[in-house]
Amino acid sequence: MPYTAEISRTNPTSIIFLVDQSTSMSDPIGGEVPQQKADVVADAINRLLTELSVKCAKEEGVRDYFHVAVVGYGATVGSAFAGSLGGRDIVPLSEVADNPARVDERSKKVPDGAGGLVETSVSFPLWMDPVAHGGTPMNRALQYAESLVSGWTERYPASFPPIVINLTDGESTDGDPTAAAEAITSHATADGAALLFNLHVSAAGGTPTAFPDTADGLPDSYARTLFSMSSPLPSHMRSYAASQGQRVSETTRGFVYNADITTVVQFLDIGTRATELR
Amino acid sequence: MSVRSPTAPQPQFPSGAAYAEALQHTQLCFRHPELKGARPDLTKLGLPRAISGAFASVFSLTSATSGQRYAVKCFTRYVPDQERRYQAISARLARLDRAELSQPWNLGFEYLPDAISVGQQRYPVLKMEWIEAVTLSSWLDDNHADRFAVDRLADRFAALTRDLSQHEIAHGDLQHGNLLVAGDDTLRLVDYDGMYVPDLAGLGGTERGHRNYQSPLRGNDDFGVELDRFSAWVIFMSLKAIATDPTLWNRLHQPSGEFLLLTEEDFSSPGGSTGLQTLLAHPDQLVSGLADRVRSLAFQPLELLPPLSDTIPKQRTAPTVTTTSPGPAAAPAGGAGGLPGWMTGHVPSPARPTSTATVSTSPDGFRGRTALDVATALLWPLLLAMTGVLLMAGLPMPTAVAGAPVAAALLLTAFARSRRVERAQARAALAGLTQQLGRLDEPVKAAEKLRKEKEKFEATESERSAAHPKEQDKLTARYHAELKEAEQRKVRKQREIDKKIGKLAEDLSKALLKALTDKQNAYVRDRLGRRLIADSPPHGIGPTLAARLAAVGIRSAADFTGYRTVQNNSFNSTGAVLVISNGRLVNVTGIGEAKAIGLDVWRRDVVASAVARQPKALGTAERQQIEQGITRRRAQLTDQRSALEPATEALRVQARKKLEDGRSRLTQKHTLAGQEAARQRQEFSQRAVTLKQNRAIHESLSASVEAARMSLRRLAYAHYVRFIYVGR
Repeated sequence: MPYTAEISRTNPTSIIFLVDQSTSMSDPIGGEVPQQKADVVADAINRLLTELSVKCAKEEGVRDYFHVAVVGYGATVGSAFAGSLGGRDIVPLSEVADNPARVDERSKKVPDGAGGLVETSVSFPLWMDPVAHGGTPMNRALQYAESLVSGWTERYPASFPPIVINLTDGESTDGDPTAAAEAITSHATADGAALLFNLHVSAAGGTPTAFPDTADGLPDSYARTLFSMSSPLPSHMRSYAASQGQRVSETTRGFVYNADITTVVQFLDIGTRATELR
Repeated sequence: MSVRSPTAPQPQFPSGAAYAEALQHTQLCFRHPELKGARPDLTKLGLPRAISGAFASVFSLTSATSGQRYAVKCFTRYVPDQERRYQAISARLARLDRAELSQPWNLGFEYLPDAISVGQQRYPVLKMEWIEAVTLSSWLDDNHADRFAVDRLADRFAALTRDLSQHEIAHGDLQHGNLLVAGDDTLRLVDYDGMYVPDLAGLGGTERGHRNYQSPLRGNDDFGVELDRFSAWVIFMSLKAIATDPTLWNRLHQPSGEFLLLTEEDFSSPGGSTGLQTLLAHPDQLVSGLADRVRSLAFQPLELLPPLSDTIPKQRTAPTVTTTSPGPAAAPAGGAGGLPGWMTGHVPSPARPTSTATVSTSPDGFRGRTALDVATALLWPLLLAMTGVLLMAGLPMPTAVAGAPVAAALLLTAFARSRRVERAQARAALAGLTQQLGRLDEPVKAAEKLRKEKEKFEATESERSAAHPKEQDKLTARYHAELKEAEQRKVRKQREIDKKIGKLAEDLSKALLKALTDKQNAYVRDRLGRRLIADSPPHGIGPTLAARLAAVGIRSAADFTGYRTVQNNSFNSTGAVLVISNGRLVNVTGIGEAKAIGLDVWRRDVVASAVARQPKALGTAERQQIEQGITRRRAQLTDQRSALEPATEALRVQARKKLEDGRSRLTQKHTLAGQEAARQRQEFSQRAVTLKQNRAIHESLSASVEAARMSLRRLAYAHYVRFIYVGR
């Protein structure tokens, strides 16, 4: 059965984030406090990298169950890592964990134990900065990811297949991305074809369409294209999504349209959920 | 569509990172006096350092008040009946008398409900004593070469499992990460999440345990005292094997591999597994016997598995360094029929996939002299002496006879050697191994074949990928051409119609003019017809002539149009013929040139007077009829013109549909090809993985073949001669 490979240091998997950095990413996204979409996406990925580092931490340190790439696309297409990892593509998680660009102090209100709230500051490691400049060369980004995926499946033929997560807010400006998307999912390890999930971040503030199993009811051809590009969720991710209160079916796809802040975070959590880490 | 699923989702727990963030302020997140303000161990980045598992993250916290160090377990997943489980486990473990245990393996813990505040909520933690110890796998990394220490640890492990089963406790997830080795080389058992104690009987299991340690038959719901049996055998066998042959650690254990010597595949499909085959083929019978035991146990239901502790002698501190059977486990504990303890209770297992284990050889060289060997040994000096005597007697005889005793001795030795079972065994072993090796594809060749196939596939695949946009472009180009053609056709037709419409005004005036002319001509013709020659004859035409004219059909001015002068041959004079209406010429007797001129002048006067009176314009009705005709024509043309646009649009729609159909056919084709490529690549990956495994099996088998050859060499003639005297 596909998508059941155990993720281990000898059989790690790779997670490749494709981050839309087009000009429109500077538009605000709905929420309690309005934020730019680029900020929300960068925050979500930074948070997820911390999350993965903690999840893979063992006695001796962070284990390389995952190798991570963060690719930005806008004015250019390439590594979106800042700081000492700048310019790198797929980086082992242990190296990611130790090398954020910087650690910010962010203020946060926490319960003071006496029924009130007290403002404290928490350390927040950052690996990528928000960027919003240029077009949406989604085709090039997908082709970039394909070369990473192809190299990975060659190197780790037994591993859980690579997961590509595309976070975008607009239509591709360099042509129909369908063929490039299919090229990604045509690569496979012994455990199955590479996975491509798409997250559409919206400024519209409508109800998000999360993990649909049909293109019916999607508002336009752009949404339908993104839907058709998205891989069905493997069974363990489906179960996890269901345990998170998502409505899922056998043919549910890794796609969210019109995502708000909460859905962005939840989507990344579900889309990077591992089978079993050993 | 973020609608809640019909079944209520499980309660949500914070993630490991959320706990790590909360633990940046232990003063705020804890209420417990020992933990409030405790100092966490930090990572390089200065954040609380976690050790994470599937259900929880553990943090090391040093109490600000007591200075005591704790391991605090924070749960990231909901576990049903969690508090009840921990309370029951805690109570059961608290009743154990540490003095009675083989070693102080249990560790104290306290379940604290609502202990930590994360976000707006409070969650439980497990506060555990911190122990200084290393995991079994990292201990083996450092100590596998110390056979004594490893063997002692194997026995301590067996003793630990005895402690557990004596108290009807099962850990549920015995593995290299949950067994720690303390500084004094005694074991500590950690992570009690999935532990079974009798008070929890009836509840389900919370986990299935590490897959590289579990029986293929362990199910999700198994939860009872027998949970650890299979993993206990796996661990014990691995430790004993390493103690016997420390090289096994480097041969079968991968650096950072999540297993000791064997993995899940070894248990589920022993035939294709490198690890199990290597152990089964091991020359040491303790190793191969234990491996065979594990192999057969993998096919038995958990409740039928014999506890490790029942079959292992109770106290063993002496090192187990000898490599010959029956070995240290031969104590009669539970044994029957003099079999080694670990061989008892052996349940018939599925047929062996290969015969590796049976053809394994041990020990090397000849062992145990038979009567024939002894006789041969005794015969040699006897026959040599006989030869000496014969030679010394100085009797003349052929050398052949003198050499006969020696030859007899040589022959007898050869015969005696051929009777030794070791040679047959060694040959069989070598043959068996060689045969097995032959069955395996040569890894280098197979890899080359795979590489070539892959290369070919990737080439066609990249051609296909490149062809796809071209085919798309072709469709688009055809679409554009069709649009262009439709547009051109429309414009051409429009121009034609516009030209016709533009000419309508001219057509009208022409039609009007023609109608007037026709009307005038008709008037004149009518007038001419009414002027009869007989009624008002022209000058010089009398009744006779008029009658003659009437005889040829000329009665009125309308009946002729003129005359022609003719030369009369007979009289050499000029005469005339008349031109009648149909253009024919008639000769009328009595009408000469002068009469003809007269007639013509008469006719001209009639014409002139008719023309002078002819109508000068069309009547209103006539005119309107003509104008209406033109208006109808204009309407027809305008209709034709406006029909052009919808017709063209229909062509456009048709072309668009053709394009879309073509595109969707192409996309479908591409998608199918992509899926096929994924399937093909998956197969390549599978072959690459198998190849890697085969390479290891191949190496291992090749080594065994080499070893078998060596041992066959040790059975050579000279070795036999030494053996019959020396005994080895």
